[in-house]
Amino acid sequence: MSPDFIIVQGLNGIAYGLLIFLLAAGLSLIFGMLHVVNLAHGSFFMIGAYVGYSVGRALNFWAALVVAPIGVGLCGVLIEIALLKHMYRRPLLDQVILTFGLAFMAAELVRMIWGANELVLRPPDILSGVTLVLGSTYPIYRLFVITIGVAVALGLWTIERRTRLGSVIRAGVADREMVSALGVNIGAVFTGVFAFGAALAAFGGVVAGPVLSLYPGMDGEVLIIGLTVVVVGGLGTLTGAFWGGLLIGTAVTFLTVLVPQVALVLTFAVMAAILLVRPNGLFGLKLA
Amino acid sequence: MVDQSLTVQELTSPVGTPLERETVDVTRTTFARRWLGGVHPGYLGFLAALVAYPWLLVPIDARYPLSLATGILLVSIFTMSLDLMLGYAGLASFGHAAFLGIGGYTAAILSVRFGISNLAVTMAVAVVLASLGALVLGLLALRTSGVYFLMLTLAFAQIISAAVSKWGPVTGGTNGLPGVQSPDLFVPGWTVGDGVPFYYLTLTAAALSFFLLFRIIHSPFGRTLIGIHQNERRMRAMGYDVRLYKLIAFWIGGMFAALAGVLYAYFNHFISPDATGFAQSGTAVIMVLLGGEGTLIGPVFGTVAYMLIQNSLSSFTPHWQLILGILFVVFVMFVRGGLAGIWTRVRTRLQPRGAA
Amino acid sequence: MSAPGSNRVALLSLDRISKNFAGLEVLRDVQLAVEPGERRAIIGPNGAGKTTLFNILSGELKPSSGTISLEGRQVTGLAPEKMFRLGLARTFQKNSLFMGLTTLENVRLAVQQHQQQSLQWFKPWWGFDRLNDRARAVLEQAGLWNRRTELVKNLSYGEQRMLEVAIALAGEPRLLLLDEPTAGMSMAETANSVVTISNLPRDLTMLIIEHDMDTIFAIADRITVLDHGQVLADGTPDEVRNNPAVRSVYLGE
Repeated sequence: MSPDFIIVQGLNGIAYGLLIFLLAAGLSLIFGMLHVVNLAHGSFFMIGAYVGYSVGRALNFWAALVVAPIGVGLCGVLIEIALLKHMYRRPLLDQVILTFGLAFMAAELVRMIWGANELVLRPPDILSGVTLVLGSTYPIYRLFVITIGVAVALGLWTIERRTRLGSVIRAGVADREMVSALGVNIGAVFTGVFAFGAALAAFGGVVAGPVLSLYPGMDGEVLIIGLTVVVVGGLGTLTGAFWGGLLIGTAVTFLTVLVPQVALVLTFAVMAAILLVRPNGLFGLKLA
Repeated sequence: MVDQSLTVQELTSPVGTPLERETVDVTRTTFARRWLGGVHPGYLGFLAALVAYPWLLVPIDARYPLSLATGILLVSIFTMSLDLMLGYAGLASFGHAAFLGIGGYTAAILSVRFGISNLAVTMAVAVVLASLGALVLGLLALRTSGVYFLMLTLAFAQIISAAVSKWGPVTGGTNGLPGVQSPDLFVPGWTVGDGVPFYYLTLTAAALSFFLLFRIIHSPFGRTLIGIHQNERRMRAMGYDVRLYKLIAFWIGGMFAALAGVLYAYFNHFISPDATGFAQSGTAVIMVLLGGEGTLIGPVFGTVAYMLIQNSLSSFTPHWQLILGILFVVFVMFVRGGLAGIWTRVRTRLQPRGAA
Repeated sequence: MSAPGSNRVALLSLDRISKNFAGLEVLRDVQLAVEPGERRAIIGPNGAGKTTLFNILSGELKPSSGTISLEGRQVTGLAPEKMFRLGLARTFQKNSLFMGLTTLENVRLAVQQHQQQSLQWFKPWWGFDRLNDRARAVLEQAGLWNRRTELVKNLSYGEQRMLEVAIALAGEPRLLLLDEPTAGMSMAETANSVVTISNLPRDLTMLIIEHDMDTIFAIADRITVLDHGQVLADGTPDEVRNNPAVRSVYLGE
């Protein structure tokens, strides 16, 4: 294992981890606050990637970074208001069927519109090519991914810790009845959280486009990793999604290169091990 | 929802007469209880229809309807066992397909790699492996609850799926393992061929499974599971070792799922990792919920409905998944308790008010 | 302390039981002796330490000092499951029942566990005579037999409280601790409950925490008054009624 290998794979792991963080953040918040396991979250990511692909080809990458999240976010608003709102009092499994059904629909729609073939996205010109990092050559685009990921993480952290909105959200995760009793329009907050989570996932999808390839099964794969991260990091915490993402991202990356046969198995074994020691995840709180 | 029909039915004796030696309402309840092991006579009618099914198909080309029915019965064993865990014990496991895979791969590997297609042998091995798996998964996952439990069981399914995908030389890898022979019924030479013989094999297995699960559910053990689902804390306060009971429920569910898996491999003469992962587990949960959890017969309805819809839709349009997805959404939004819930509501409307 | 001249051994005996919670003294030097078959009421103002006493008796809390003996046997600090098996059952102030099941099923679960039939997996519940007969007996004692097919969530609050008593009885206890059994009940329900509790078998020893004085005077053989964690008075209802210390605490005389 040369230093070059470690640097390159390490950066790959961080980049991958941050992409998953973008997905897991929304997933974690949605579960923490709405108590819904959103099995359609991978679909948001996937749709973001595909829409990003099309907008990227029609206009440019930067437009895609804006259009895709907004579009998916609006879909999120619609879904929450029309469907999800009525399900909050229902058992967990009913919500599972709902999001499962949505995921089915999304997968098929993507197949219908973009076909079943694998699509490859090239990064925009200014971000393509390689550069030297600590003596190793490394793709510029992946450095961009890392930068964006960290920027988003910092932004979210600031909102969570420094703004009133953040306090409301954190309080809502801890005890939502109390928050609504305090006069906050919890319905609007829920819609907002859901839509924002969806938009964030879509944003992640656009950014991920040039790194991962696009194909109709990607929503399931990304969802599984995302759920793993959320569980490892702790439900309802952004900090958990961040560090969990980095942990799982690097683990998966290194394992896939070193022991491709059992990479996935080991990853799940890691998750199981963590859950045994910390049943609520690394940063998780006991749910209200 | 607990099977309400039996609890209301059970008590029509006025104060003063011994509990189960009823003098009122003798006909159906006591007959059923004494001769049919408690199963309602209606189920017998259903069974009779299923037995007669191949003959009803004689005038037409029977292969497809027969194979569809066999498939449905087979998957019903899988979903009924999931209902025991999910609907009765309250364990929302997304890893049930792992056990289906254990059973299926046992049958496939024994048949293709070792030339053993004996049903008894295969089932014995499958049960042992499934028990091991259930023990491991149970001991790990039952320390958690709720979503974490869901995730751990899901992870288990994915681990099994990934493991069989990568272990090419033995399991055939991602492409699966074709060439599974038809099973021998206990004695070599008594091969159960495709079509009608296999249909009856599956029907027997399904009917036996239903009967066993029915007995389990109405036994003190089954009642314990229901109690745990309803109020786990109180059960513990009453002195029940809750983890032990959940573990046993897991074990039973896993065994039946493995048996379904064995039949699955023999039926399709093929097994692949698709049978084991999250998607398959999720579909099973959907079928249980669709039919109505906690009713045992509900999941059978759910399996029938789902497989029929999937089959007809997929021949209708290549975009059947879209329609299926829409149906799920609509269904869960507007229908409570699944198909069995609808059935119970219809039945209570039609029934005259019984004695309290 | 046995009654003078009597040779009977107390069923339950507390010797200088004290309990501190991080410096806060909740119980101090509590002495208690309950005869077999006695109905003893524990009364006192809120915060006097009554429920803490019950928690210590049932094993949920360990006393800071002092000993407890049940039927002559040392049981200080034993876990709740152990106390349960030794014949002590209790109800709680807050109901915790199986709301989605019928009254009968609720009781059956308790009886089933007591009779150790819970691992029977093939024989349906109606084939267990002993189990069903006991469930019936218990429900009749609690006055709930005619409500047996009703889902518990449809029972009145008073009936649910009595169901708690029934479940406690299912374990064939020697000593029953009732924690405010009539709390929250209407006048009619309270009257019913008093009748039911009075009609419980006389060989069952009971300790009852209560606030309603009518209930107490109707049921109790002896009353122990607690105030600020100490025993203020101990005697027959009449003795307690006329006790000056008690009067000053309750009536401010």
